[in-house]
Amino acid sequence: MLKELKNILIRIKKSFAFSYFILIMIIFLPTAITMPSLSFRSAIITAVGVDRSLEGVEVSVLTLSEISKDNMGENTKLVAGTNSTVASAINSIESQIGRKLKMGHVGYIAISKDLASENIANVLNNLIITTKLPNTVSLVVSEGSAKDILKQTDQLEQSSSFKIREIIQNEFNVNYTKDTSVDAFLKGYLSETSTSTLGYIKLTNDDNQGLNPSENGSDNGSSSAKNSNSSTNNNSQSGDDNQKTTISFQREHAVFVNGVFKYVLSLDEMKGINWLVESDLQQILIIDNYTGQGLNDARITLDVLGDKINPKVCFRNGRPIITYDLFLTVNPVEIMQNNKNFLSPKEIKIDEVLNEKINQKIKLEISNTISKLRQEKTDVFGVYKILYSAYYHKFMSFLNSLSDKSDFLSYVQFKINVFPKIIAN
Amino acid sequence: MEQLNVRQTACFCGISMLALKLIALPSLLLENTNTSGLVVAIILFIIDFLMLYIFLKIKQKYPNLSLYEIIEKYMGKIIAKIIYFSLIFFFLIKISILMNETVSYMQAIVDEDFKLYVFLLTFLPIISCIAYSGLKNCGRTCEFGFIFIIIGLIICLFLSEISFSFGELGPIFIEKPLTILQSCFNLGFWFSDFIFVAILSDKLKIKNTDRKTIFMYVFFVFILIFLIYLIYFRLFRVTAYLHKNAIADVTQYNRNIGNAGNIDIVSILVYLFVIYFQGSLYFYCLQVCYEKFIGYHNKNHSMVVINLIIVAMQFLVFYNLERIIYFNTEYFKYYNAFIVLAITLFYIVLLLFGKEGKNVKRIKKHFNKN
Repeated sequence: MLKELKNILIRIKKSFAFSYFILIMIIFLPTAITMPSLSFRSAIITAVGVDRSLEGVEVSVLTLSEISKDNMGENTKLVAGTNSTVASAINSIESQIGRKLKMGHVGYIAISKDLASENIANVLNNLIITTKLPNTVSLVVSEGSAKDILKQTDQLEQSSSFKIREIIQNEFNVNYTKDTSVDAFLKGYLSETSTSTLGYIKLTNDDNQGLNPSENGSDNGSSSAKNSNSSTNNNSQSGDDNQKTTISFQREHAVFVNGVFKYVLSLDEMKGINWLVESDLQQILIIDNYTGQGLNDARITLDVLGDKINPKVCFRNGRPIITYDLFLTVNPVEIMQNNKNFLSPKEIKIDEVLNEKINQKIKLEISNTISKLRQEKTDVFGVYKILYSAYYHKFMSFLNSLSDKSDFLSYVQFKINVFPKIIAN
Repeated sequence: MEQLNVRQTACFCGISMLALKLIALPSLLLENTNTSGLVVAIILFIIDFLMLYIFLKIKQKYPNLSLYEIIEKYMGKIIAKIIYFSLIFFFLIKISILMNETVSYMQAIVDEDFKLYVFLLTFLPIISCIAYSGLKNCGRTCEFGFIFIIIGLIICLFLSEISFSFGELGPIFIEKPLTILQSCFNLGFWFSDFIFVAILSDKLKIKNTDRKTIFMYVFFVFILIFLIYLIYFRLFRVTAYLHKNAIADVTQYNRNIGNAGNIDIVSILVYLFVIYFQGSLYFYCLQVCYEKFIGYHNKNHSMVVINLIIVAMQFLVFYNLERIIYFNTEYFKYYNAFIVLAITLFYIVLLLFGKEGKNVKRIKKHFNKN
């Protein structure tokens, strides 16, 4: 038996692969055994905030701590560093905690509105280059200090199971088709129109909004909606001064031109944009004052299950005309007449009146948004790209004929045709 | 004699097309010529296909002669040795691009502290071993792995945001023809994939009718690569400088599956399969060129020398991907053009004016009988 084992061992020793394996072990095993774990060498960052400070910029980070907690949540610490540049501020944080920052797990970056009044593309580029930050991370603009946003979101995460990064992902990237990642921001910034949009969040003291954690801040609160548009608002209670501070997501979007914050698009204005971007997103469409099919002055709530958009471009007298054919699949979910449920929603059909009402409603939402965009001279939903891709030369000569190229949207004619269809039950 | 059959040759052709095109090239195409990069890619692919066609035609005309023997026969031993010395350097640069792209990819996907020497320790012995075991084993392994690579690539395509209209890509003829040609010249080293067919032509067991099979494989791979490029170009038109790892970025970007966790493993596996097969092919070609150049056939000797040269080049000349891209687009582009033109033009002349020897006629007769 021993002899056989010895023979096997001799045979293994003779093979090149085994010798090479032993060599690799000799080289790497001692280092691997004695090396401290990754979490002791580096700090795992879950969120980043960037503010303007007197010295230049203040970078705040939420870093995961290894100390175990009683509950299942993550234990995080807020660390901030201030200096004249992003790289030096990060270096200052690394000196404070004695570890290198690892950005692979960053959920979101908050940038304060103050800082956003300058070109933030440079700040983002510096962050990506200095820290190898993944460029798919969500980016939000905070009305107040980004550091405060980090503090509040940390408290909310400590006291509940809600993850802010998931809420941001859901609020800005899933409920609305506008991608708010760093990559999307830079794409917009480097595009021909230099326009990008980002999620917009703010801290308020309004106690009536959204989710309220209990007084001791350890239980999940109950959820309530602020308005009929069912926008979710999430609150967390500040522990320092017992004043309730709310992190508010109103589904607003900050618009940037050349990397500089310009204005905020409201929820209703974002709806107008959402109709013109093809997606599988669910939206709610409320039709008021409908009369027909046995209903009188009723309110019908339609669940929009998906839309197909077919933009067609043509030029007339050198001016572009875009026709959007919008094919909607809707599901009637609620009918209210005299504040009472009157008819089963399943029985409703799209007749001429309802079709007209849906058309009017959507066209109104879109035209309000386009008016705002024309007024601000910003192209947020990619009109430039559609025209540029469809008729490059005609579009270029149209642009050259304009005295102010940034105002091209005012000269583009929009035609909207909505074709609603009720989903077969 | 060790020989590659038609399927193995076709698999190697397909893998050669994939190896240097899935990481840095799409980003370079976009940076150089914006969306006209697609035109650049198509032109270079067409040049490659023409080269492959010419090499296979020559194979038909001189079935049992390699590139070295053909050059030696018509231009003498010294010219043959000069060409083969140039080819050693050519393959060394190719293998360096392959290694540096892989290290960059691993640093982006697996661990940012991934070190070059760790990669060399796990890459060079394996490719040396595959190449050392002979062309037949090399071909069999490649034939086995090829199907997984293709399936993996198709999965990668489905993981990406594949549904888009071509209109979103924008116009692709926006650059001037001169800029497009300049870009073709600059990025030539990422193409010219079928030189190995000329070098190993005496070891390929291919009949006249087999050309169709090889081109079928090649076109299929071309379509896959082109689809990946279309998706990449549509997604990262202006931010290409941030997306140097095309295959990973294309599969990662899909926001619809963003919450499903990390699924980079598919692209990692596909790419690892590709680099090991391609690395072993480059290594085998290096061995052949080196042995022909020194005129001494010893596998052990050539294996050790080539390994040492690769390591030395890596640590003394090309430290990282940025440096090798700089060298290739600034200086080595002339070298690539020289190799491609020298071999292709020589073969075209042979096709037009070269006479077939008695030996060739006898083999042709034999093939026709079968």
